[in-house]
Amino acid sequence: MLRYSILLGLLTSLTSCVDVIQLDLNRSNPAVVIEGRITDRDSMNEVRITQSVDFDYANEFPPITNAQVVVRDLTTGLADTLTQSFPGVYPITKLTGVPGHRYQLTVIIGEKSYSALATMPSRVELDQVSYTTDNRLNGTSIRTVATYWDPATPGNYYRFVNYQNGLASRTFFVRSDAFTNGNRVVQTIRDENITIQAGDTMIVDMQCIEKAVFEYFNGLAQLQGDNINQGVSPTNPPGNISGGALGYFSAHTVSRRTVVIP
Amino acid sequence: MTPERLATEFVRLAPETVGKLLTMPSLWTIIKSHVMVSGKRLLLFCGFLLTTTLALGQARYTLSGSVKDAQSGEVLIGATIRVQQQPTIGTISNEYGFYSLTLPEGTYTLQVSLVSFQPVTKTVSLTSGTHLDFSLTESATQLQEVSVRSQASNENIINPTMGVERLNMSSIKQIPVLLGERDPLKVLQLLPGIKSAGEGNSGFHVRGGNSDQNLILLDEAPVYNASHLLGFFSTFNADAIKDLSIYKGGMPAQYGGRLSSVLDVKMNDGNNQTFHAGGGIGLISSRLYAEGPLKKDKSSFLITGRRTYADAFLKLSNDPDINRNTLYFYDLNAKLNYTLSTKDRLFASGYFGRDRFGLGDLFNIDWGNATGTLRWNHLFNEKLFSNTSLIYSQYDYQVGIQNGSNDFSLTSSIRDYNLKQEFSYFPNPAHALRFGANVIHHTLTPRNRTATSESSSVNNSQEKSRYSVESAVFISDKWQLSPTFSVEYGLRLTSFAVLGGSDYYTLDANKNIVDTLSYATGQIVTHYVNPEPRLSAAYVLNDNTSIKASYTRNVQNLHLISNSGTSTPNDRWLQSSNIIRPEVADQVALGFFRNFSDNRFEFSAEAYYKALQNQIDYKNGADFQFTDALETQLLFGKGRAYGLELLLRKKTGALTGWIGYTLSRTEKQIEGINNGRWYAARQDRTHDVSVVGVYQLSKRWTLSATFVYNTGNAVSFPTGKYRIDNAVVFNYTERNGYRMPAYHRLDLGATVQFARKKNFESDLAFGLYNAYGRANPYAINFEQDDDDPSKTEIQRITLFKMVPSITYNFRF
Repeated sequence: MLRYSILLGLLTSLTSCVDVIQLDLNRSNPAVVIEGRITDRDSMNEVRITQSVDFDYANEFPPITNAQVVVRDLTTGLADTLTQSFPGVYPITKLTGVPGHRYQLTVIIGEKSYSALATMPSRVELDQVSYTTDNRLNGTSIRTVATYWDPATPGNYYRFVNYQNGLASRTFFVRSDAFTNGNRVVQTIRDENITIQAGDTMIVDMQCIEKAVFEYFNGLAQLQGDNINQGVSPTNPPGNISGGALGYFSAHTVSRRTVVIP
Repeated sequence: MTPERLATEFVRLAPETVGKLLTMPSLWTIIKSHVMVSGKRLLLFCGFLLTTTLALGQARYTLSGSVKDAQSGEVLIGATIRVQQQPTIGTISNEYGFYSLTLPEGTYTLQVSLVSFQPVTKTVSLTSGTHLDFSLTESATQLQEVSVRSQASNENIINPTMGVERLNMSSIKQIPVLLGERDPLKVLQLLPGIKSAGEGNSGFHVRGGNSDQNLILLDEAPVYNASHLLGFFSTFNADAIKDLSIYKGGMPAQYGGRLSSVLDVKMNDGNNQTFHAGGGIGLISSRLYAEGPLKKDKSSFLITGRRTYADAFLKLSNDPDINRNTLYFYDLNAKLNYTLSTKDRLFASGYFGRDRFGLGDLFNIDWGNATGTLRWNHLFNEKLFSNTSLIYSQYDYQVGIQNGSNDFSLTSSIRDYNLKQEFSYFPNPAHALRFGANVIHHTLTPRNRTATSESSSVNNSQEKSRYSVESAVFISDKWQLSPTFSVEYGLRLTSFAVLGGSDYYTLDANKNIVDTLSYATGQIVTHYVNPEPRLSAAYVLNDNTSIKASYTRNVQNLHLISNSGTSTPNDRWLQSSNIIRPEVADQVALGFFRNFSDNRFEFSAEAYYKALQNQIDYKNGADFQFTDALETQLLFGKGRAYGLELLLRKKTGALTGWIGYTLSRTEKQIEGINNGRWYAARQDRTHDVSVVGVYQLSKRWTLSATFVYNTGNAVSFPTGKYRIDNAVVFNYTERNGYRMPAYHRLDLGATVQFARKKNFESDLAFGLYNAYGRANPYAINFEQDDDDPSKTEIQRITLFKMVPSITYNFRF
């Protein structure tokens, strides 16, 4: 679809225009948003709980500070009752993710309770991160490139996160091995939200994620594409949290590599 | 009652009442027992009627022949043949120009008329079977037509067929269009009940149907993707087209396979009198054609071609990022026809079109249709006309991606071999029968993935082609019961056999594949049989007023799975399978028709209600990019569409044109979408207005204008936003719960005809699309503000504001 909008852009660049407009969008009740992740690393293991806001508000999402949050390793039976560190942030301190283990997240906010299950997939190493240049109509862009060996068994799902000089990009980029099972993969990471320049230090995280989490982020990636209201009706991606909360709970491995753009 | 109130009332009441009527088992049983019990009984029924009427008269003889254009020898479709001595008797020339009338012995005066042709009158003394051809001369200008006092016909009043529109190319060439490209599909969209699929788009929705629910036939061959260049152009080159008819409902039984409409496009046969060539030079494309006799009066050829050159502008750029790109399309139409004898005619026609788009060496896509039709018309006798067709149709696309080690191509195609035998039988003036059979073999090759380099990390896909055989038998009769009452009734019986040779799946409730079923080649996987009754009736109140009603069932076994509302070349066709059931539509329509001022003004009002079964939409969060087994991404449910269409048209005089208005609603109800509630389909638009005017200013100048207004499409907008990681994500709580802003636009056109020099004619056409520069949104995007990440903004993308065009057309 994105490629399509490029073709469209080419076709109509002489006549089309883009302007910012106001629309009268409905008000909605704030929804609970839960982002839970447990990884095989020491850092970044946490549950964050916020609320949604109406479209025309600033991008400030009220934290939920009174939640009771428990993460349990169902394989070993160990549980971690989380304590809030910053408003809405509940770090996981007693558990570290282990591939193959199954985890359960339980969140209780007032009368309501939410839960999710996640299994950590096997670890796949990110062998190398390099860069390439992409020539497109809107100019030349530098892209990071991840190289890895996909395991022989089908059903591997990956999420890639770019960090530009330490700052994470907001682009959602996921791939499955549906087309590339068992092969050495050299994956260019198309990221339209950052402009990589010479001298930048680029870190790439490759996460091995579950199918449900892949479907969730793939749905978010589609919402980030251009021209969505030209055609496809955008829909909320199906999350894996029961009880009516937005968001996801993921148990994933993280493999990290760095490249400095000369 | 205010119009608003009327609208609300209609919208509230219509679905309940008509819906109940349609689903009422008793009504269904009555229809079944009377009309469609079985094909056999229907035949008996017809036979009985025929013998009874035949036995009555004195000596009767058949008058038959063909109606042709005097200048070009092209046969004329839809010409009305009237008997002056018996005003209630008449017929219409069929799609091969043939007509047949059986009358008692006597002397008759026959008048033949067709819009934009001068009527011809001939007297014949009928004492035996007689062959009589008519040659009509085109009225030079419409001004002349006024002075000779137009002989407009009231065919629209007396013909029982409803929901049909016929356009011949000469009648639409003055209407202004985007970029000066005379596109018949864009003119169709100005008629009530037919809606454009988007800004400048040649795709269309008929009475709420999806765009894949239109059966588009080019010389009988189905065209699977009738658009070029993302839909901005259609595959129909105006130079090659003679005539097009669109059925919005009440389709005669010889048509089937799609739910919403039939668009029957006929190519020119080629001039069998003299050689001609011509063409046009426009801003974006140029056209050329040549036609002429191979042997005068006996055979002729036609060849037309067209190519866009938008990419030539890209080449002018010095920037390699721009000039390395490719973007064009071309198409070719060719036709040969031979008159073998007075009883046999042979036609061969073909179409080939291709779009190519390449983005440097990163990405390319090309796609196109190819169709071929071989037809044999045979006259068994003056009452029995036969047409045998062998038809080939193919659509395919190829996508190439070069990206790191991911070099691969995706190819997909659909290919049909189609054999059709059709008879027209004219036993007496009261009946016109059509019957026949049709067998189509479909091959659907799913999206095949092939690695395109040694080092590619992409595996080739193993999906095999799917096969099916779609067959139909049909019979229909147009029956004039009395001078005031006529019916056209028929039955189409279709069978769809899904053949083995590839894998089929069993899915669980969550749409995961739980079992893969393999069938041997030739083995039948599933088989669907559907009777499709068709009925329409007209009751003539007086010479210029009639009421009509129709009921139509259509069944569709090929489904276009699109993840967008507008068609894109890489949308995938799927056939009915163990998971996808045939789509079914039942439509009832009622119409009121009235002509004024000697038939110079035509008014019609048609109301319809359509109930649809086994409709397809995609599930929330569906993925089409990485999924080979598309069935896992689909949901099924029902749909309904209803509306009221008003049309006031002036066909003759210095000022011609029409005003159309449609009030309609189109909804779907699918488990898993909006909690199973009815929701507006994307193409749902409450109000739709179009005004078309063509004014003959002088012998040389013609001015034209069109205006359209419609309620915005139903769309999904976010009701809120939230944060995931460090990105702002929009919360879509409901599918199609919002509306795009209302769309309106005025287009202007002017054509100047240059003085004719010997045989050389030429004209210059000017156009201005969206004359007052209305910023109609093509898309609305919701984005996190790049400059201030603490904010989000709504962007409106507008494609065409005040686009001028100029085209030079010539002919010699």
